[in-house]
Amino acid sequence: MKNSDPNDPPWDKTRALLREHLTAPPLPHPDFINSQVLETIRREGNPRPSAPLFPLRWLAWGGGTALGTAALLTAFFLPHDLSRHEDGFISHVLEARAESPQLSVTSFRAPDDRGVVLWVEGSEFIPANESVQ
Amino acid sequence: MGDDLSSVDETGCLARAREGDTSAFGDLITLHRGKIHMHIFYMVRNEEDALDLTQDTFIRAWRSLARFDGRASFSSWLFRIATNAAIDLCRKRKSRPQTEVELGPMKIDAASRTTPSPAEVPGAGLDRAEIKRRIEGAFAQLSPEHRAVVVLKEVEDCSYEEIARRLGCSPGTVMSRLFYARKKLQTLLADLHEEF
Repeated sequence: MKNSDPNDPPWDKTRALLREHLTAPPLPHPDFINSQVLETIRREGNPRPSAPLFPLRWLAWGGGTALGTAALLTAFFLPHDLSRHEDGFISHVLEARAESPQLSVTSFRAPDDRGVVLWVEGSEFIPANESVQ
Repeated sequence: MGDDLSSVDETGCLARAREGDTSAFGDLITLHRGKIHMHIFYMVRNEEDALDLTQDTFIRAWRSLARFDGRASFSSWLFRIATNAAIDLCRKRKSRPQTEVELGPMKIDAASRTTPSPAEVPGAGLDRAEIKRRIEGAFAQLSPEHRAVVVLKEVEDCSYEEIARRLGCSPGTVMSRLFYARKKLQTLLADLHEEF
């Protein structure tokens, strides 16, 4: 590092001034530092400054692995499980109609209840000789 | 606890301290407290703050001992903690550090005020106390980062690499800071050289 300005005074002289006048006092009562620091450490319960049992990196890897395993299990097993539920219905209602013209039948699915509702109108009851197909 | 450091095995103390041995950590404090205190004092220019920050440095070091990976020397690691603590303090002050410092007993013989050697002492035409005051004032106008590199290079004679390790920056950054710090100091102290 050289002085870029030739008009600047030589750095050696400035350095000599710094070294002569820029002094630091000696540490007053050096053992005081030790006692203060050690007392603070003990007051804080003297936690052992060793690495934790499960460092953050390990925890991160563990968490990632668990999430990955869960995702794999979900991908492999969940669809089969759902399809089993779909197949679990005893029958499907394709169309509902009444033979009697006074009756009207409407069907709609209730997905939450996993069933089909047949809504019959036109009669307070269904006679025994009638049937809803 | 004395200052006889010849028998202190830093590596052994460090290993025991990492196991939680506070006595070993005390030995490490004894080994490094003088230099750390001096370094901090150069940066903050106040004895009381320097003392507080020296303690704070070792307390921080104890708390972070598990994270010390040994890539740098323990000394460099301590210096880095100390430097950061000093810079934090200077920033908190939001003003330049105090220029009126308590330096304790002057090492200069009173007789030297009347018998300086012009060939050896720059600015010999000025009163020594006045020169000192001027230098302290100029130094105080540097930023804490610049003060750190000036002290480590010009006073403690460290290499650029060592300064970089101690400050946690690159050698190029050290050189750059040193360049601007020197320029500023030379500008501020230019009239002292006219006394040569």
